[in-house]
Amino acid sequence: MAGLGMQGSFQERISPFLRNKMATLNRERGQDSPEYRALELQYVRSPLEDQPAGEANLRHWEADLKVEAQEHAVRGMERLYRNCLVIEPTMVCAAHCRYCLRANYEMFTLDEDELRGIAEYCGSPGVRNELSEVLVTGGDPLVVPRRLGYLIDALVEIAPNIKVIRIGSRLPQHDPDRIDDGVYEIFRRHHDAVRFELALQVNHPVELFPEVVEKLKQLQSLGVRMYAQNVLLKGVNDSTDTLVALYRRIRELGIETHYLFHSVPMRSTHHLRTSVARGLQLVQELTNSGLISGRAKPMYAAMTDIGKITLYEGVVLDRSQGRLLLQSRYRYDERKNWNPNWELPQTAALDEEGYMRVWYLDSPDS
Amino acid sequence: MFRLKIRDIHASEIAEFLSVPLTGPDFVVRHPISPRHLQDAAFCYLPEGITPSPEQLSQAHGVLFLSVAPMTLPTGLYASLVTKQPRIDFIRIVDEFYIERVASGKSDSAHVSPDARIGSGVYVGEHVVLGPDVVVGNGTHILDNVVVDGRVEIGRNCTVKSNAVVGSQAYSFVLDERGPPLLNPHIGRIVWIGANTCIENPALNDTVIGNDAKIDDLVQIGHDCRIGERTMITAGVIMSHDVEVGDDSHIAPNASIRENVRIGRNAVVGLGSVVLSDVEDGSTYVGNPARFLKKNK
Repeated sequence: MAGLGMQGSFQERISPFLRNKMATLNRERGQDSPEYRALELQYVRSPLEDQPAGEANLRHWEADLKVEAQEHAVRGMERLYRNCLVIEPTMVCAAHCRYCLRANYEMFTLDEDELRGIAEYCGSPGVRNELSEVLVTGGDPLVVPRRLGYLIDALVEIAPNIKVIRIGSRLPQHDPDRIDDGVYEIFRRHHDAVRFELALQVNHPVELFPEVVEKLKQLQSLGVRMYAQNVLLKGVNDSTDTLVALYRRIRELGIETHYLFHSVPMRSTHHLRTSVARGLQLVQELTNSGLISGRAKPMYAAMTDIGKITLYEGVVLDRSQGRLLLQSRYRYDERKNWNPNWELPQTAALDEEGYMRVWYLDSPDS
Repeated sequence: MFRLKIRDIHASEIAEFLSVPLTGPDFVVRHPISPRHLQDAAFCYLPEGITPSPEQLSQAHGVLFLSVAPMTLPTGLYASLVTKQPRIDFIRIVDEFYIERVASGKSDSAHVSPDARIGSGVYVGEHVVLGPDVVVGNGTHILDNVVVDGRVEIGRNCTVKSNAVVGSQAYSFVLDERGPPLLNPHIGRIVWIGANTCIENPALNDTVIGNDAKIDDLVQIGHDCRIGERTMITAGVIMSHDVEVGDDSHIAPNASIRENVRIGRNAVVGLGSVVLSDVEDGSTYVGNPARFLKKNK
């Protein structure tokens, strides 16, 4: 999602559907109700964004892939893990989440030749044996269904090694009206060739409006599996009650639980971040209490400069100046193998066994 | 099969899609329209040299313009996007945001040979006949009463409108010279074939319709013709055999083209022209017989 406006700040964009829903919630439950606040904090630009705080990042990591055979760096591809490639067909979204990881990315929409180039990379001899899965994100790929359809056509045709296509989208929540035959058609066309998974991001149960649920069920009936990853956001879902309601609702709808992310240290998002410790406390209350089904328990993870690190016991090695040192099991030498351009970030170092450790910016709770 | 769908899209969303900066405020646009009939919450493209009058503007609230040159617009809900090809970008936006492709499937009354190779996501309308050697790419829509026979390959995401005949027996009675049709008409990808259009089977050379070519209704394409990529052939054009049309050309309605003629790339043939000799690259020919008029930009 790229939304740098002319003023150089991440512009506000709220889809007409969400705007209507927010107006209704405001009228019926008041502007201090948790439901209204949950949407307001996620989508309405806050003056707090302009206050400088900490040394937060502009990008959450650098994993752009340069393909050797091509003259130019290929846009819209990132590879941080061996078996999965991230594809970004567009950087457009129907609404802008204020805590977006990709707010500072260059804006583009790939044309058909570029999409075909990506499919060719996926099916190329060296890559074919390693890569079995792609994550199509952006932006919101469902915003441009014809391009997404083209990409998937090309992947099925050129890269039969891709067995799982994950699509990261919030369009069903932002504008369910735009999930229509054009979108269903893509899933219908290839459901026998690949497994489709839709990665949703639901942060508060209020986001699952009846219109949204209807579209999700329609997609599920086409064989699309769904999972939700959620972001821990201060004021939106940093209470046990909200998280319990959220995970129960997600489970009812047949959506699998995936990560609960600690909000990533991006610039202008400090007011939405809780501390890592607060998150750990919430997750303990949530998962070791019998409040939700074991099948609905999330994995609590931090998105660091070197990749996702799930916060298990012993992962936090050290604390210093508002930062945490996290131990990963990612190997630097391995990663260099499949993405030679990748550089060890300044915040990361290697331990004696060659695994990476990384400093992660925490946030105060006050 | 397509349907225009009214949707609320942000002007800034369109700007981001085209990767150009939005000049003016951000608002929701709902209708793709012609610049001659401005209306609220709409967007349109402006052909070069045309600007809307203040009176026209005052009647519409919330208009996004696609233009070649930067525009001066009154204050209010007016915004513009500067692009090199406003018309093409307009169509791209309509295609991406406002068009819905409706479901795939095969109607019960269609006669599709079990040997035909039909891709996924293909729509086959009522009474369509698809012969045994036909290949149809993914996502192509074949509307009612279409007949496709012979060794025809149709690429992906094409549209073949009602009553079109692709791969019809060529009008040729010199059997010893041409022999039976052994070659394939080859239709590229994202090609549009209009209603009642006939594309004949080739005899000695492949008939090729290039990618993204658009053929309007009531067009006759003789055997062994080659149509370039992105070329537009409008209604009522009659093309004899062995005609070659280059990429990005435009043939205006009702033109007739003699056999063995070569029409260059980026060429234009005027309304009702009778083309008896070659048309050079990048030039406009008009009249009967068609003569050079001007060089195209």
